[in-house]
Amino acid sequence: MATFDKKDLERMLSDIKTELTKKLGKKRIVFVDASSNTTVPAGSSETITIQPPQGKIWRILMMNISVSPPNSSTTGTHKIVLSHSKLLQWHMVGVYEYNNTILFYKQVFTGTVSVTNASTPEESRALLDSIKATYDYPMQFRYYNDTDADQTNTRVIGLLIEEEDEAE
Amino acid sequence: MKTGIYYKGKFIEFDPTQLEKEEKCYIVYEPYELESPENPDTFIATKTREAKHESGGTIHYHIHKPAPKKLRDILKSCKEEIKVSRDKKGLREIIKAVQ
Repeated sequence: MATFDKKDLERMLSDIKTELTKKLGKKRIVFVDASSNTTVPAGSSETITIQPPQGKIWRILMMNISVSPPNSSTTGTHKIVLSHSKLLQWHMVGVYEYNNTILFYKQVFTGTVSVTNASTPEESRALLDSIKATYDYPMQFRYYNDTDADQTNTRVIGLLIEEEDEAE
Repeated sequence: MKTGIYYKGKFIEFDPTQLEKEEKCYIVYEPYELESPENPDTFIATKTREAKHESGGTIHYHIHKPAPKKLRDILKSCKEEIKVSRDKKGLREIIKAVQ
């Protein structure tokens, strides 16, 4: 199973950013590292809210996610959910058993995924295209640790974002 | 002296020590989760950090813990008040306001 560390992630996304910047012309490409290493206790969750600057719209072009399972966990699941902060609905989700790594790689939830609505690049693209963030309406990632052990491993989340101005 | 939330003529008592001495906390009401659409849950959220991005954007990090059972029971009986506390003020500020 493919794994990567933070440096690999940054290098891959930097190359993609260069190529996309050439193709998209004036639209700005922004790389956002939303990774977190705060401990998430068993049974708890973490929300990571991605808020663009005022006057800007952010859309995810590509993303990479890697979350190792909590050390010493023996049961349960952990999952990551992308949603819009105002709707409070799960928009894109990847659920994994307590002993499997959450991996969003090559634009799909891959590895030993238990439940997802983004198992093909086409599904992922449609979901990502339909969620945009502004200053007042940010987007959120939520990591749920529903295992029996505290999550001390880093949630690696790298986003390649297309930024454009809001209409006046 | 009793501690609680006073809202629309109804006093809802609870023990503030159940908030586990969080510095910044508020109640998050989640009525639309797919797992339990008929059973809204209550969490205590703590802001752990905020990262300003070079683009001018901001990334906010919160840890959500399930609220203590007694507090959950009280709040479940009073859904409208929970919505108000989520949208307007942190629960701690509401407690201070009624003390």
